Amino acid sequence: MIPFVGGYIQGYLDKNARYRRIYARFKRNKLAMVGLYFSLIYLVVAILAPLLMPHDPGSTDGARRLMAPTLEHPFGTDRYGRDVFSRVLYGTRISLQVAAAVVTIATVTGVVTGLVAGYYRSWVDEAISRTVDVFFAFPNILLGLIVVAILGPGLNQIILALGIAFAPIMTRITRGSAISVREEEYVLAAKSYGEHSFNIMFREMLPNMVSAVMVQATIIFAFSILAEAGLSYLGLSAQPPTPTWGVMISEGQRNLQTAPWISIFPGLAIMSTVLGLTFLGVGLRDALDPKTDVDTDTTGGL
Amino acid sequence: MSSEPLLRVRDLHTEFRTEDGVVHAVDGVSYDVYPGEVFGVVGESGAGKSVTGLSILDLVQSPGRITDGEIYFDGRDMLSLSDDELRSVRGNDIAVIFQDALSALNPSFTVGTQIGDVIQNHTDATDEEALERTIDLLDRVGIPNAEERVHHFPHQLSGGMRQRVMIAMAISCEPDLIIADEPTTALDVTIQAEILSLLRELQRERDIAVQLITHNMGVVAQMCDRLGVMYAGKLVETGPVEDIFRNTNHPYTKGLLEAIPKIDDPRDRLPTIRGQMPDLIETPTGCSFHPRCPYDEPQCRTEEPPLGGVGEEHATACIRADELELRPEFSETTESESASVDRTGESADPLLEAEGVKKYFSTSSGWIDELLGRGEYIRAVDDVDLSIGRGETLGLVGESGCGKSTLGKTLAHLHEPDDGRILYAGNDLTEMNKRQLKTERSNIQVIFQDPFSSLNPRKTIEQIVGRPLEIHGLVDDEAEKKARVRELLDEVGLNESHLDRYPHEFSGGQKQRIGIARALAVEPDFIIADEPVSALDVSIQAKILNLLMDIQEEYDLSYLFIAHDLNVVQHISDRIAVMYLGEIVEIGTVDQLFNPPYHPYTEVLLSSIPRPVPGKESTRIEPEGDFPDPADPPSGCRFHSRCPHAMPECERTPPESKALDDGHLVSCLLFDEGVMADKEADVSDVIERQRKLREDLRADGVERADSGGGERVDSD
Repeated sequence: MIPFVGGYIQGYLDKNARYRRIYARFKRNKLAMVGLYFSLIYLVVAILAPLLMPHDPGSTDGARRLMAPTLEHPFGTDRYGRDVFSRVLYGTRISLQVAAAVVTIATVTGVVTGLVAGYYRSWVDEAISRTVDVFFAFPNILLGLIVVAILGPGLNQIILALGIAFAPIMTRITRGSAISVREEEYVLAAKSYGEHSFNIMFREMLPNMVSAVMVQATIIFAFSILAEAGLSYLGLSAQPPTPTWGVMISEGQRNLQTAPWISIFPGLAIMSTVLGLTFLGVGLRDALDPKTDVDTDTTGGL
Repeated sequence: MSSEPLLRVRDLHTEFRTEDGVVHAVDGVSYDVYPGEVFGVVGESGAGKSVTGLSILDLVQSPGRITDGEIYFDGRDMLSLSDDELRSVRGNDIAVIFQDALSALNPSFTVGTQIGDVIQNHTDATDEEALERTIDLLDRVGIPNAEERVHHFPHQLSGGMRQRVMIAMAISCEPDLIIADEPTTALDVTIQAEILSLLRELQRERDIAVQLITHNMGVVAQMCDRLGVMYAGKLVETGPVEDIFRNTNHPYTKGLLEAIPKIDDPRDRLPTIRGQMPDLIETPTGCSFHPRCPYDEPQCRTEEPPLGGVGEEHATACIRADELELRPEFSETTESESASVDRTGESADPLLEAEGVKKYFSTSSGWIDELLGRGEYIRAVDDVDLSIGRGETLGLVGESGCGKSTLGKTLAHLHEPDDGRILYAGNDLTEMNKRQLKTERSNIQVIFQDPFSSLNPRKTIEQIVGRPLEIHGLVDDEAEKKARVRELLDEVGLNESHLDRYPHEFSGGQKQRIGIARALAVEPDFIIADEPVSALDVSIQAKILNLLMDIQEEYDLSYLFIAHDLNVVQHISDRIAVMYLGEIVEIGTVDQLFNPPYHPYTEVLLSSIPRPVPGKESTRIEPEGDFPDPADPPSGCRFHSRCPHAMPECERTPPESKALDDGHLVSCLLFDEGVMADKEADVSDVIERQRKLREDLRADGVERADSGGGERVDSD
C-alpha cells in the first residue's frame, strides 16, 4: 500500500515543480516520513474500522471478562467482556474525528483573529486580545459545562466547546508572530504595489507564520484527545458504551491493577497518533520553508 | 619597520565544516602588526576579514576551526595557549571592538558593571577602584556626565555613545592590540567621524596597535598606516596605505577604489568589478580573482600567485604585477562647468509635489491615549515642501532618525500624512478614495533598503515579480505573466533560470535587482528608492547605481533617492535635499549645494565623509553633542544645539526658508538679512570657512586626477 501511495504522490508532483520541491524536502526527513506513514495508517484504520474489527465493539460477554491478551483478543477484554482491540479500532474513528474537528475550529478561528489583531493593531487588537484574556480565565472543563448546559451533552457539543476553548491559544500565537512578520519590508512592499489587506494577511504573511501555527496545531490535536477523555469521564461527552479512547482509558482505571491492558492500549494509541502527527507537523513545517533546501538537517529540528 | 612585530600571523587557515562542504574562510593568510600602528584589513563581505580577526583570539564559533598556521603575539604562540591563558590575554592584552555595540553589550547590566567586570577580571581592583576607573574611562572617551552615565543601561545610550562605551571597555586594561571589526559601519557619518578620531587619538596617546577591519576605503585612508586587501580568504595586496592607494598593484584593489562614488565626479556609470565573490567552498583554481579580473590571462587560471614584493614593504598576489600599470583611474572632469550642464533640475514640469506635509508618530502606549490625543509626538516629518520634476532625481540625505524614510513612505502613501497635500501629476493623493489610490499606486513604486527583508522568503521570484502585474491587471493569463516577468528579469540583469528560485538563493546585489524588477513591473513614473545600496558592498553598490541610472534613462523615471551617504546621493542626483529632525534645511542642485554658502548642517555632513585619500587629516567640523530627542526638538532652529555657528537668536527664532539662488533654499538665520543686518562679519567668516572646505574636497579630486592614468577597466 505504501509504495502505491508514494507512487501516486510522485506522479502528481512530477507535474508541478514547486510541490515537487516541497515533497523532496519532506522526503529527506526520515522522522517526517515515519510521521506521514503513521498518520496514513490511522486514517485508513479510522475509515475502514468496521471492516477490520474482529468483534462487535459493543457486544458484552460475561464469560470472557477481564481476559489478558490472547490471539483471539489481541488487546484482551474489559470488565464487560468486550474486545479491547475492536474497541480501540473503532475508537480511532471517533477520537480522530473529534481531534480533527477541534483542531480545525481552533486553528481557523485562532489564525483569523490572531492575524487580524496582529495586522491591524490599535483598537482591533485591543478588542480581540482582551476577549482572548477572558477566555483564558475559564478552565476548559467549565467551558464544556456551559456549552453542554446550553446544548445538552454529546460529542458534537464537546467538539464545539473544545474548539472554542483552544482557539485563544492559537490567537495568541498567531498574533505574536503576525506582529513580527508585519514589520518585514515585504509587507510594506506589497502595500506599495497596491495589494489588498486580505491578501497581505493571508498570502504574504500567513505562509511565513506556518511554523508557529503548525506546532501549535499538533499540540492542540493531542490536547483535544485528552480533554475529550476528561470530559467523557465527567459524562459530558460521548457516553459509554461509545468507545472513544478517552472513555476507554477512564473506564479501565477501575481495573488498572488487575487488567492494565484495558487502559494501556488506548493510551498507546493516543501516544502513537500524537507522536506521528507531531513528526508530520514538524516535517511539513520544514518542508514548507524553502530555506531548508540549504540545510540538510534530517532531524527536523526535534 | 625596524621593531619586532607585535602580532605575527603565518599561513593561517580557518575552515568551517558545513553540510555542503568545507568553507575555507581564511586560506593561508600571513601578516604582521607592529606595535603602535593601525593595520587595516579591507575587502568585500565574505572575504574572511572578520574570521581572520576572530581567529587571533580563537573566538571562531563552531563549526569553524583553525586548521593550520601560526599566530604569535608578543612572542607567545597563541595556538598553544590553554583556555585559562587565552582568557587572560583576551581583554587584557588584546581587546575587540565589535560592529554592533547594541548586541555586543549585555542589555540587562549597566555599562558601569560591564566595564567594571572587565577590569576586575584582569586586575585585583576593588569595586570602588573599578568604578572610579570606569568613570575615568568613560570621561576619556568623551561621554558627558560620566558619573551619571556609568549607571545607565545600554539601551539608554545613543548608538554613538554605545560605541564609545565599547571603546572604553576595550582600552580598560590597556591592551597592546585592539581588533576593531567594522567599528563604525552601523553609525551615521557624523558619528563615524567622531568615533574614528577618538580611536585614532587614543591609539596614538596609549601607543596601542589596532587591526582595523572595514569595507570602507575612506575609513582606511584616514585611519591606517598599513593595509591588507583581502579577497576570497586570501590577502591579495599588503603594504603602506599611501603605496597601495598611489601605486595600486592588484586589479581587485583597483576595482574597489574605483567603485566608490566621489564628490564632484560626473554623473556617469561607475566602473565595476564583474561577477561576484566566489563561495569559499570551491574557489576558482589559480588566482581566485581571475574570473572577475579584467586582465586575466590563461596562466592565471592555473598558477596561484604568491604574495610577492613589488616594493620594500609592498606586496601583491598577481602574476602580472610587474607588467601592469594599475593606478586607479579617477575622472579627470573636476571642473563643475561640464557637470552642471546635466545637472540642472527640470523644474518646469513637477511630477510630484508635497506641500506642508506632516507625519507625527505618537509615543503613547495605548489606543485610548491616542484617541484622547494624550502622549507625546515624534515629529518625524514636520512641514515639508518638495517638488520633483519628470525625469529628475532628487536626493534626500540626513542622519538616521531625521525622518527621511518616513517622508519617502508618506510620499508613497504607505503612511497617511497628518497634514498637508501630496500632488501627483496635479491630483491630490490625500483626497483620493481607495480605488483611485490603487491606480495611483502603479505610478509610484518603492525600492526598499534591506534586500533581505523586502522579498517574501516563501515566494518564488516569479510570484514576487508577477504579483503586482496581476493586481493591476497588466497581464491576461499565466503565460503572458511569465513572459513579462522574464522580460523584467532580463532588464535588471538576471536570467530566466531564476524564475522558480526563492529569495534566499540569491546574493544581496541580486536580491536588490529583484526588488528593482518588482518596482518596474507596473511601469511606474516615479520610484522612491529608500537607501537602496546602503546594505551592499561597494562593487555591488556601483552596479546597482549604474542599473538605476540605466533604467531611469530608458523609462524616463523620476527618483526620490534616499540615502545617508552624500557621496552616493550626489553621484545619482540632480538636486539634493538635506533633512534634519523632520525638516528640510537645504535644497538645491548638486552644484548649488556643494558651493558655499550652504547650511551649517550640510557643512558638517560634507566634512564628516571619510575621504579616500591617504595622508590627509580631515578638516572636520565637529557638530556639538548628539542627535537630539525627536520627541522634544530644540526650540528655534532645530540644529542650533549642534551648530558650530549658533547665535543666541537661533534658540528663539525658527529660521525661514530663504532662496539664496534660483531654486537653492536654505533655512538658516545666517543667511537671513533681517537678522544678520548688524553681524556682517560673521557670515563672511562662515562662508570663508566653507569655501576652504570646498577647496579641500576639490583638491582631493585634482590630486586623484593627477595620479590617474593607466588602462581603463571595462565595466561589465
